Amino acid sequence: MTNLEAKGPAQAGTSYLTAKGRYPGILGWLTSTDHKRIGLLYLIATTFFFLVGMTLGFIMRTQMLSPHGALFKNAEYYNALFTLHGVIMIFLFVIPVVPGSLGNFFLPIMIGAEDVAFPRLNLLSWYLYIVGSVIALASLFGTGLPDTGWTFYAPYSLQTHADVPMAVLGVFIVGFSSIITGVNFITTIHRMRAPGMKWMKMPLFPWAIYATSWVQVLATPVLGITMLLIFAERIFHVGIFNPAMGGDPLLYQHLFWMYSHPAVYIMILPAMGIISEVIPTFARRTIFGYTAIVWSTIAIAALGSLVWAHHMFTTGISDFSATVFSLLTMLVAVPSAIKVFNWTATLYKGSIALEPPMLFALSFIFLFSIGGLTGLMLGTLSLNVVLHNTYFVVGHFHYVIFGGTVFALFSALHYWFPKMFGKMYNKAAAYIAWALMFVGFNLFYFTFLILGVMGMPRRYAFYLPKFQTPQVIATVGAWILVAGLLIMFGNLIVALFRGEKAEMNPWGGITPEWQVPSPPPTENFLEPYVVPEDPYDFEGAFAQ
Amino acid sequence: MEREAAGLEEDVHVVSYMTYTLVWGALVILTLLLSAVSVFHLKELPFLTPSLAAFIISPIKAALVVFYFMHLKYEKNNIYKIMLMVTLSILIIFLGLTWIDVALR
Amino acid sequence: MSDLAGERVTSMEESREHEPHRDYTGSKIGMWLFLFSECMLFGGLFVLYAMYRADFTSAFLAGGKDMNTFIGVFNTIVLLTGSWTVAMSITAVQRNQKKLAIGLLSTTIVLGALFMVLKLMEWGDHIHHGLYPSSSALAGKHGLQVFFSMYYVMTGLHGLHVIAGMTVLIVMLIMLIRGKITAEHSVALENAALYWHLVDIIWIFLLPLFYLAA
Repeated sequence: MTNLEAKGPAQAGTSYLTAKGRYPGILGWLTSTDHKRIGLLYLIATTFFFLVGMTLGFIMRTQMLSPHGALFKNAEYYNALFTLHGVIMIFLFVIPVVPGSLGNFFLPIMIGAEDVAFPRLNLLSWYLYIVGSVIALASLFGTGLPDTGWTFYAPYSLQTHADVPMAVLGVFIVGFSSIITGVNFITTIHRMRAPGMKWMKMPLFPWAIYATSWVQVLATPVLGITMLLIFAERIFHVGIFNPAMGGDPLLYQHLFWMYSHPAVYIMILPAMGIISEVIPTFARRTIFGYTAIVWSTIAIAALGSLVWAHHMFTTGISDFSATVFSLLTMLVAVPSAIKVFNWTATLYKGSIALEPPMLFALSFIFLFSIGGLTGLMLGTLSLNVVLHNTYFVVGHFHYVIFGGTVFALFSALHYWFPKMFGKMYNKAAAYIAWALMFVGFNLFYFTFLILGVMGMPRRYAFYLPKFQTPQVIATVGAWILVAGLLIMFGNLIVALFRGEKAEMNPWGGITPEWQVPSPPPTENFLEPYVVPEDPYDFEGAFAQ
Repeated sequence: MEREAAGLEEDVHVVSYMTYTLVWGALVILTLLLSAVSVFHLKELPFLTPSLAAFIISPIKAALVVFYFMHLKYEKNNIYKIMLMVTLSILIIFLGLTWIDVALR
Repeated sequence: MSDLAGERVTSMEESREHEPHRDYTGSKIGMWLFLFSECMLFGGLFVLYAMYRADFTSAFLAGGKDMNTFIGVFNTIVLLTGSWTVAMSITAVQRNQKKLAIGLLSTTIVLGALFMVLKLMEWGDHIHHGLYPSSSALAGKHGLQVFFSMYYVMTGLHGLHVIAGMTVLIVMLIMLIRGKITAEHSVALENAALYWHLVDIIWIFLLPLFYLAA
């Protein structure tokens, strides 16, 4: 099973971008088992899905300009929009993006390895992701518009005309991709660290990937079985969640959230790993509390797996369980807060350079904190009764997922772009994009929090007139945000072709990836990597 | 030899046919015992319900398979046992936390 | 640095060009991790079973009576025996007893097939008697409907894994016959056997859940 085959005929030291494999051109990319190429394949696919999801969101915002619907009068279209927006953004973008693209690209390099433990399985993961995505999207063109929400709650998902079996089959296959990636990364980290790289000398991004991979391996199968059960109910008429046959719909929700809550930790842990890399580099100081961050990472993965029913407080679960889950939810905020304190403390007396990656990283801390605090509000039972299923929830999760994970992703893209492609982007454009995104994001989603407290329910195509002003403000915020996003993507894509050549270490980073050429050669390290005593010791490290 | 190349586990313990056969025998006996409890209700031991027997005997059978057939007893590296403990703990916690809802509604 | 001109290569390149990287322990860790994911896949079903059994205790006990205990126990022993033979086949490979290994591995596969045949006969019998969730015979009997829903889903998913396991074992058998699996390179068979043992363990728990109620 383990077969790190010879990368021949290898021209030693050739950039992974241009190395010649068995097949030329695109076929060479589609058959490559080089973790860096697979990482780029994931990046391209996930970026595509992000843009699709973003467009769907944009259409939703346009519809909401008017209480009676600015674009269409048929609520079924809105149901389709929010279902698709959720499915695409969550399953096809946010969950796979950091592990699949940046994890794949940088994990082996950051532990001083040549590739992952199972390179061919790695490529299989990507193909499963693509096949699953296509099948999930094919369900659009089936028996009816999707309308269950990305949550596929029973019993409605068992009855609706939408092609639920196809959609859940697609999600099942994408889930498999996630599990295999997790298996690959855990084995890689256990077995392929450079000699001398003990666990507590590993950089924090690999640590984050490690914890994430455990959640991927243990939690995703629960989603798998849940999707299989929906499939079985629709096709074979078993009655596991169907009340007419004795089934309990709440058990569907338990099983669904048993995965889907840990899934948000799959989303945020790698992002936190990125922040732990970016902040020390641009403060030129060692990370404050490396050990605390490691243990917090593990704690978040573990505790985060135990809080799922906080999505179910108003469904009729027992009071006792609601109390227990509320308590556990409060607890999981603690290690997250520890990390926020540690990142902030790292800045103290640092030599701070407000380069684009750093701006995104600092934004992360601000936006994630708001997201986290609103999460605590939602975790409070009494507040939850009022805020459940309102725009407050939507605001909360966009703050943590978008303001958190996606801003961290953008930080990483700006940080690691020169390494991945050997080119530098236009920094002025990056700053402008960031500013538009930051302003637009807050105008957009903070207004959502207010709308939620005002009582605006989520997933509604039409609303009471009193909500119109905030809805319009939020939509304007969305326009500004999208403008920033487009400028950012445009900037990076132009840089791919016309960017200035970047050196090996433009930021003065100290972790292993900055010791290899930009872009790296196929085999990553031309000389075996020498593990330093402290992964974040900036003494004597300078930008080149 | 790939094991020597791995630099670790140099001599993998070869388990004897006899050991495997004894384990198999134990598994069969336990299975029959479990079935007997279910089929024949022992009035002398009313607490020995089929459920209780299943709760005790099934994990023992599974443990025999895991430790002997799946080699866990002979692995020098504790990593497998630790990972197994993590998995089982998560499973038990999932069961428990769901239980406190369903049982107490 | 290139070896194309026959020049001296660095040791890293040497090990890379001439011998594929093999990591016995890494391979096993990967397999165990995959098995853990399978545990969680079935684990979700066991959670459901536990909850429904609490809700519908008497119906679940009654449903158990409709099962053929003899076939259930017999099938259990079939799988246990298959685990025994596949475990021994690894010892045989490690002791270079190729013919014995082939015999043992073949036996395992045959036992797996026997299990599936019996299972499908059971299913056919149940369906014939109207013992399936959407049948009119069970209409309105929620507890029994849920019992049989769980029965078909859990034994069905298990059956799919038996088939998958058999497929993998057949591939292993071919590799063994062709000499690709030897005492030095046995990890593929060991991993396949691990999968088979998991399939056995799942059935160990399914037996009392469905067959040995009261």
